[in-house]
Amino acid sequence: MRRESSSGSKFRYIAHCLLLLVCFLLEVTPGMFPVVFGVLPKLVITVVICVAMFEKDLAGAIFGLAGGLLLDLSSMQLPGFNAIILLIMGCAAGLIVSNLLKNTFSSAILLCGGAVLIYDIIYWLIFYVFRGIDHSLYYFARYMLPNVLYTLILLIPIYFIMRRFLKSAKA
Amino acid sequence: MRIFLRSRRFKILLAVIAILLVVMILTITISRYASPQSSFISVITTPVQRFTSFLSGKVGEISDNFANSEEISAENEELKNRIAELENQLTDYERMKQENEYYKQFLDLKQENADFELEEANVIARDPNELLYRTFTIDKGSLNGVAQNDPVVAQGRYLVGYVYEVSPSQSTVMTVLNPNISISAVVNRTSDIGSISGEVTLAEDGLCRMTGLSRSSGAAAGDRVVTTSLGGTFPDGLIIGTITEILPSGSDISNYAVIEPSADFDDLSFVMVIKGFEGQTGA
Repeated sequence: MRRESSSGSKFRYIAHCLLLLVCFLLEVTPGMFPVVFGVLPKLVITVVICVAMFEKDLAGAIFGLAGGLLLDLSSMQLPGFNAIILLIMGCAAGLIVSNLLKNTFSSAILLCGGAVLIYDIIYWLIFYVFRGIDHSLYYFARYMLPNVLYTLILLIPIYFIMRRFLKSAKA
Repeated sequence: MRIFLRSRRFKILLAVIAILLVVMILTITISRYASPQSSFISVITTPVQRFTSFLSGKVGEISDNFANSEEISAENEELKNRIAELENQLTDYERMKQENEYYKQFLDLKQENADFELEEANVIARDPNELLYRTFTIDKGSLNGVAQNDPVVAQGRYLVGYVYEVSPSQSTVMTVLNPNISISAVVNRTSDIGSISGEVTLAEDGLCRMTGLSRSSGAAAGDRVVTTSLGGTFPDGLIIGTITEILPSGSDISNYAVIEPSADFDDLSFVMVIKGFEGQTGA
């Protein structure tokens, strides 16, 4: 089996970093990405899960940490909240793909959809339910569930671009 | 899986999570300054976010021009010879006029309140989890003298919200649409005092509410609501919005007013932070 050169793997990780940064900027910059029915997709989580699927648990954890720290910059909620959640999700996704599931598009849908849903549930519980915000159930149904759907739609190009790119890089 | 749980890698992972948790807890309990890791990263990413925000504005201008291009091209053909010389002058005039209108709004504010210490800021990012409440980030922070709880205004003296979290080079602003906000306000005509906060279903329509009005209050639709200096966080007289209707509160014997904010939250790109004013007591 041909071992991948270290320069090849460095190039891959640089590309992953750029993709993460671009998706972060698309997600947080006003007017850069279309808001559909008041909802934005979670592009950073999508990239973290995809990187974890292709590069496994350690890379997933590191990219999760990086993506979470970036999201914390624009967030007014608990500092470090996104960093912790995405770190765990990135690591978990990498472990699941290593031990339980194959790296296929169906697995990507399952992992990404599950990750966004779990993130939204945790966010909703901590910042809405436990704080006693009125109409919290309505908020969950109206904004968070469509958010999962919108994110899964954007998973399609991100996953296949990454897969195509990695195939070319390894060739 | 068991091998992973016993591995050194897993122990390192747990240590990183523990450090992040400790930083989070310390940051919450000590102050609302941004966490050390966010402060460090923000110094690097703020210029990038400023650039992408500028780029986003330019893309919007280009698409608007493209939609109207057919009509403009036809008209331009007819007038091309006559107006060729004046086009350059017109561009300069428009730019100066926009800048003048922008600064005039805040000049009025400054002239009426000589004690205000103002800092202009650009909106560079939004909180993707708080889209409904239009929470945003500005490109000024503690290095520019911005502090927590500083009021933020737009389009002159329309209150947008206040600075919730501060980093060295950027700050996060909580708007009046947020359910977690609480601002002392007064109905200008009747002097009824209440508290401004957001609510999920109202925020969908860009509205907020003023709670704590008594049942005998004379406040009515059309009345203007402004800030009060009670508590020392906000100066008197910043315009919050206009009452659209008065409704009974479901939980007690008071009424609440639905407020249409005067600030245009869908078109926020520049704001002013009031860093200091007479009577300010901070947090």
